[in-house]
Amino acid sequence: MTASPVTEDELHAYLDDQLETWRRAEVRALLEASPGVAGRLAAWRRDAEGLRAALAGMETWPPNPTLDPAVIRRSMRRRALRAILRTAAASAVFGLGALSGWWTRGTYVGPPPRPMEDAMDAYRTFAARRFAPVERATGRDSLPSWLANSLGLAHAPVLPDLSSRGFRPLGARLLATSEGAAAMVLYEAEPGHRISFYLRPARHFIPGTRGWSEGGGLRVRYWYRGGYGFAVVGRADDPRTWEIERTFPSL
Amino acid sequence: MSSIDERIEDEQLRALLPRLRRFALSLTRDPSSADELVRACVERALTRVRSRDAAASLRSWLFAILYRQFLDLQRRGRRWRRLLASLQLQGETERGSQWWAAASSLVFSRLSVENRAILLLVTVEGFTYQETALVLAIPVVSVLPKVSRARQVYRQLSEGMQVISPLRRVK
Repeated sequence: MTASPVTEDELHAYLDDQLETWRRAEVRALLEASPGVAGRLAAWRRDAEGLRAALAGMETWPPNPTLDPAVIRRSMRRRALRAILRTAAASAVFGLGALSGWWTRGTYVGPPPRPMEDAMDAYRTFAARRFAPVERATGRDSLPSWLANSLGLAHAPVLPDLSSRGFRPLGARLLATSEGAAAMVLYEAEPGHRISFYLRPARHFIPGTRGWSEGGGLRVRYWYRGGYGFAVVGRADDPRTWEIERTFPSL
Repeated sequence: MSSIDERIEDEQLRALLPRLRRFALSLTRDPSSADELVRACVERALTRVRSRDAAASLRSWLFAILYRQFLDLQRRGRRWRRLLASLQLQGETERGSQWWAAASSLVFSRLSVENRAILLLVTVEGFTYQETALVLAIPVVSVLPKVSRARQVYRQLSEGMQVISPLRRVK
């Protein structure tokens, strides 16, 4: 039987001990006959031994405990649990929202509206400001006509005179409501003690409705007349707020 | 908490950790990146252990996962690139009898990823061509030509090294 010539690949397979048994004799014969081929094979063998030696040290690395399968398993479980909890929490919040939305369907959500709540809001927002609490300063003469123009009133409003109680007018500011422009006139007795006179369009209240309320340290007295709502807002702890309320003729 | 199955798997995995780390280091050429890769590999293995092909040995299955993850990471992050320089300097610090080992590892680090993987699997780990094909996800017939090419490149680089290295060491 004549053997086919040994290929380059077969030399490597021989080196790797993966050549079929019956071909090994032919390779050995070739190596004996050809010193050049034998030299190449020897060089590859040296390379391989060198590589094994060089990479052998890597097995003696200090162990890394975080790579232990049991440790990785635990951290994977923790992560999975956290993900489940996150999902559960998210769906619980969403579910509660949806449920309460269904439960309260058709009802008004939030605090019941109080009359002239916006007068108190305006006071809180602007009357406590040290700088520029008003956009139009007094000049008392010009203020009523400015308000009349701004609010579209037929006649200039008569602004309350509170000087007998020690409050002088600072000026006025326009505000927006769902029913149109509103105005707040601010009076000041001494720094930090202010009273506001507030008027706004209010078409949906029965004329003659009047009342008062307190909240957040403020007191408001309000009444409705001629399609307008009026309010006086001041600090609840200041007796002058009460006194001024009583000076308004419509009360 | 852990089942008997899990404990057997963990034991087998643990025994293979040093070799996985070595393969990972051959690919990444950076110890901390290598361990990162091994951790990703073990995680993947633990989530897929039930779907493992019973015909493949655990060792080649794990090596295959690690190699695939390395390629994925390399494609995505390219964050291994900066690590190249460090190992090339190491060769110069080796002395005496360690010179050859150092030169080998230096040459090794200059090979392409595929050549490094081939040489580590076939020459160092002693994988069969069949197992090597499975790890690298290539046909078995193409393993031997790749082995041949990798050895040639390694040889050429080594010869180049031996000429260059005395010059380097004089300075």
